[in-house]
Amino acid sequence: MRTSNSSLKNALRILKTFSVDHTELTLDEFAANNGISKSTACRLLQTLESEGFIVQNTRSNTYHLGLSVLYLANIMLEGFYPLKEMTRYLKKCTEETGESSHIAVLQRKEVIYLKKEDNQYRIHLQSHIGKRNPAHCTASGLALLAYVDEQTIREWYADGFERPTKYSISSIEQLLKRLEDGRAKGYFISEREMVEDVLAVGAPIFNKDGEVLASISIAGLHARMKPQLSKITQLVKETSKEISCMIQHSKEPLIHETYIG
Amino acid sequence: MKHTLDEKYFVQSVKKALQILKLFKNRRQELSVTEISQLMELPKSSVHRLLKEMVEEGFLIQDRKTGKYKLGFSILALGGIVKYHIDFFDDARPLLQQFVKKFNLPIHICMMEQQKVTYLMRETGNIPMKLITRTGRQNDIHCTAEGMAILAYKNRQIIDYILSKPLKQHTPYTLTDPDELRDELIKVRSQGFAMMKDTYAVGYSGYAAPIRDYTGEIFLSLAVISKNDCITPTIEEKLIVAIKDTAKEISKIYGYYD
Repeated sequence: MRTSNSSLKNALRILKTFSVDHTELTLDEFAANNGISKSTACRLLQTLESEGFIVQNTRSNTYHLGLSVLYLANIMLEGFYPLKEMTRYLKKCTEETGESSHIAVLQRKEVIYLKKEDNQYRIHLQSHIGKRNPAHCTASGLALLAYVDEQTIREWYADGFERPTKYSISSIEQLLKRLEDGRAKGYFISEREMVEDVLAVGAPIFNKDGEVLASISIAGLHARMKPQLSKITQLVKETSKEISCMIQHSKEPLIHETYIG
Repeated sequence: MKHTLDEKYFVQSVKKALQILKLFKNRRQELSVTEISQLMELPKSSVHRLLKEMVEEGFLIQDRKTGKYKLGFSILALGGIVKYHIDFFDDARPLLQQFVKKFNLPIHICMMEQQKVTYLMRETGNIPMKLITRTGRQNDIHCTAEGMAILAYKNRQIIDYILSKPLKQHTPYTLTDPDELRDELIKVRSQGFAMMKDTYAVGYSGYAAPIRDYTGEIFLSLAVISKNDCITPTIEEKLIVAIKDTAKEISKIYGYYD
């Protein structure tokens, strides 16, 4: 009985070893992180390099992600039709508040940022493009979870809650209550629940059939966001409606699914 | 560690899977198993196995309704951590648009990776010219200004490696002698600029200047690739200056200051 992973699985996991904090990795690190021998890792790296997915830096003997990845990511973003059109709405949000704004989608119980408009501060919000965060900790995530059926939510969180800070949601009752409140108000707030000193406000974006496609959120340092909270919630609500309206009146095909089963 | 890539060490299943990912294009966002197996010339059964694993790792998504495949979120996550960030190219676009407005010639940002030069981004405006480039396509280095403008600044080991490979004679004017190409690279370095006429396609010329990042390293070039008859000697002079200037502006976006 073969229990070890296939070569392809190992190769894909090697790619996933990279993160924003680890953009350059060595052969030893790949081998150790993935529990494979150095000779196996070496062959996989060479194959990945031959197709431009990683690049070896000959000076430092490390590897970084290659252009093929960027190329494919761009194709993917291109495929989300309304994304380009959403940019101007994000720009407006960031201009009016001075904070970063985002478009995100849900993949199971994780939220993924597709587009971001940075503020002048460029603080580390854990929300660069492609970044995944636990949905229940973020405003954009809550705005998306609120339209997933309760049964599914209960299944996803049957094993409990990841808690990046002491303020993070910790029970299913708490989560369902938050989702219900948000649905009633039309916006969702995450206060210190993902990053200790960050406050975010999010709202859902709907298609013609009333399905949630994505969410928009504004996030920034708690100390700056809190004083202008009512203005920001108003702006997020309005902008989400404007984007929904723009999408509902377009003829293009849209993001097909907001979460993948 | 050795730099050369040896074909016989490649893991074939991995190579095929990566090639499947690259079948996806802007205008071809979804593919069926049948289409993939035809494009890859592989039996459906082996394609199925590869697709299944790529779906499990989030590199592909299978549409529940149509059964077709599209790129998955793992790709996007990786895209977000590529050394040269997606947003960077957004920042450079207005500069390219400005350039096209002024010269009415197509301009490209190109990158050298391994033994090829890739067109990352192109701005064409509404130029009624038959273009010989395509975003995302790779081309040989030795026959293009966009490639030579980058290679000229690489270390000897890399130059030697690239010139040691078979150099394709694309046209009667393509330089294929490594020594002649070395002389050409020296010229490029001293001028800060590469110019190649008819070396890739007869009737077309390329003009390119290097783009530097914050470390001063050169990884990109800015290139105009145009039909020869669109460029008169007077325009040529201005064009070269403008390409060099725009390349410097883009280098600034990437954190490089003289």
